Amino acid sequence: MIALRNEVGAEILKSIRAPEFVIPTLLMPSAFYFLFGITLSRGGNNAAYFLATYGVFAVMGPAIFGFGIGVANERERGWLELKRLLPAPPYSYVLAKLLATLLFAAAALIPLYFLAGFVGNVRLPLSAWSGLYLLHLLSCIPFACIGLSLGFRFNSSGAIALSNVIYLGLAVLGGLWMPVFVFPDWMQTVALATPTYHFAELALSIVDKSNSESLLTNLSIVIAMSFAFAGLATLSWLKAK
Amino acid sequence: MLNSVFNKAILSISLVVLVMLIVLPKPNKFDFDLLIKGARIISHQGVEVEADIAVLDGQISLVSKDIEGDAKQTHDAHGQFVMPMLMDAHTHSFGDALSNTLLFGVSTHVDMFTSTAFMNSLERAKPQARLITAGMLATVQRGHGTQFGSHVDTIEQDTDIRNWVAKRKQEGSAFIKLVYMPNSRVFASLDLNTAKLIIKESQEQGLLAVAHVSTQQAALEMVSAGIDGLVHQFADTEVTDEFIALALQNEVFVIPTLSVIASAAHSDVTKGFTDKLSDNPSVSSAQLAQLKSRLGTTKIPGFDYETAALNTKKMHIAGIPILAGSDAPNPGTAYGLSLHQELNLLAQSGLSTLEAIKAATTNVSKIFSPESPAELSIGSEANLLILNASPLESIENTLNIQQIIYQGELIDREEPISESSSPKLHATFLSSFSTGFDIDGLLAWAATDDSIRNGNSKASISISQERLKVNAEVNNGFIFPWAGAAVFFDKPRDLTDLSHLQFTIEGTNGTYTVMAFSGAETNLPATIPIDVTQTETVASINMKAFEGIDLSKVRGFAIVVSEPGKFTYSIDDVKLVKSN
Repeated sequence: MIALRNEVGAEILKSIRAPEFVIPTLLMPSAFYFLFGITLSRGGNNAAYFLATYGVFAVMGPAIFGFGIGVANERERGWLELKRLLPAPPYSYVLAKLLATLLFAAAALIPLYFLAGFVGNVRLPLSAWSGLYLLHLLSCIPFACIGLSLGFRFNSSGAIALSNVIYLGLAVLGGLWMPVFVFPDWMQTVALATPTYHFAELALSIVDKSNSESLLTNLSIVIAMSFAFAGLATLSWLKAK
Repeated sequence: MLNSVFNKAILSISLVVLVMLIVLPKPNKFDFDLLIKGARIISHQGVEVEADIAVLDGQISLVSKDIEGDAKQTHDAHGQFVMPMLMDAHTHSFGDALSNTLLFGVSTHVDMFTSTAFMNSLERAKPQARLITAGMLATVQRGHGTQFGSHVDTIEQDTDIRNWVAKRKQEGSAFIKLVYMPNSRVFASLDLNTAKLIIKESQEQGLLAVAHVSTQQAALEMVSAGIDGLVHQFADTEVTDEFIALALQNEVFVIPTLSVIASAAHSDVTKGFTDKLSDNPSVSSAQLAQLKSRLGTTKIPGFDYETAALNTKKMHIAGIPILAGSDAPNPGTAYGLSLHQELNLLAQSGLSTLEAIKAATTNVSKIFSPESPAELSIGSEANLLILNASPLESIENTLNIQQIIYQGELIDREEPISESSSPKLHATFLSSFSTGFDIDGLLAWAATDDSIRNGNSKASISISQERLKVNAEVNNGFIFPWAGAAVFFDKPRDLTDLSHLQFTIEGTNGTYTVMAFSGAETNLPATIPIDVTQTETVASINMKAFEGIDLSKVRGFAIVVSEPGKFTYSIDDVKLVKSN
């Protein structure tokens, strides 16, 4: 356990010492939310709606980039090989990264929630605020697995390019930036295949009780997808050299 | 060292998240949606009691002194008076009737004949009054009700009455209205046996049957035949004791519609009411003109206002239930507003203020909507009229409205268009059609037809040889069918410096209609007929001849056909001039 905590501590230190990664990852989703979710979409329940979707967007960044590019880098430099020779348990490397990512996601959500509550005038019961926060935090996991797979499969420049495509693609297609119902029909069909869409639906059901027809389906799909991505990540890890 | 970084990070983030979740804004928990404090409430017994009224989910949830609890909205009504919103027991609802009437505190129209198209079109964003309607009326070919041009499913010799009533029920008719005018020199009428059959069938199928009558003889025959109510007072002879005894025995109610009888009788009994409205900001100039207009060009025989008022008083004293109905939008009436006029007339004819109020509230709801009583009781729909002065003191105070709450929501009573927003226009071309339909920043031409009122007419316009060409096909459907071309200003214009609307026209032979739109958007247009032939003629129309026009706020004109058929015509050189 001490080893794991040290490992996570190291990850945190590493990140703090590279603020060019940390600051944009933490603040960009909130800036986007402030611009598109609050300022440019006045009236109605829009601020609450976009809080639900931008919350998913906020945790995707640290998860996909932190893992994808970080792991690819470290693998290229032989750091991964060195890790495997150390007496620490083999999973601690991944687990530590996951914990660090969760910490970053937790931090990235804080400015977003403050903006929603105090600028966007979103009002929710304590249970909804907490439930939404927990859901947003957990939605990190499948994206971390996606990042991990990328990191183990591709070299760092490939991982950067692919991470960007997946990050932006999933955000837009899943309806995190704008509601899926404004899309043409074929894009709405594509949206159903993205984890972001189903996380957004779950989050929306917390801020708006009327949006809860397909909760069980959304939940099952999200869980199934998480397992699938975890499996993919494991495979990639085993294959990685 | 790394270990402590981890601990510090976990600890600080957890702490910040915890604080955040606690301080983030929570929804307020309210006991009520609306709390009206300190109002004087007009009770059934006609006394004023000071109390609070709490509204939740569109219903009155509590009426009591000093109600405790948080409300989303609170209305301080100290010094104000609260009564139920009114119900109009006799209307013909078209167009924006149901949203207009709300603005004068009328929650419900008991409608005595409208189109099924209107009945089926009641899903709009604007709040609107409830419609309880007879739908299609029972009359014969060339009978009263067929003169408006809209389709009427008339009763013929071979009509199966059971099926006819069942069809109405299926269309959503809440009761059956029949027209019985056996002695009319103008209209054909159902015979007594058919009328009896309709009454019997309606009642067997669970619907009330009410009758339009205009003489005491016809009224007596209907009451003997078992009718549930009469939708007009008769104004030909003074009511007999025989009629009163029979009406009481058969528990018949009467909707006198004194407003429209005053209009048919060309009586000036309504002058006092309309004169006071001229400085009421909620009343538009066109509504005022509608109230001042009269049914027919001269007094219609058989309509004596004094007799109608006396009969109403006698029936009321004898204990026959009197229901207030306006018969809007007939000439001399306007939606909503006329119900207040009706209350004035009822009070003048001998009902106390409380009895007049009951005539437009509980008397109507008892018969037409027993499930939703018009009263301030717990569990009733929150339809409240908040007044600045007591209606028990003077019935005129029902129009001294402070606030209207309909189904628990405050009704936004917007001001009519203000004078300053109508720029003055001097002699001008409305179009010569050499450069197109529109003049930027002034006006636009468009095809117009009654399809916007769910009618079946069609119109299209084009420009050919620098003339406006109109194809119009008028079909029955809407009660006042039309199709043609219209020109609208970008905003209401003041035309008081001008006198005539002129244009050249040629087309299919016939009588066309020129319409003028003025004042509020909801007003019906004023019309003038013109004869058109295939030879080009210049039409010059004195705008003052448009009945009820408000020349200071003209929105536009239309040149249309309003009789069924196919018409093509062309228009040119449309202008507004000043001539002496």
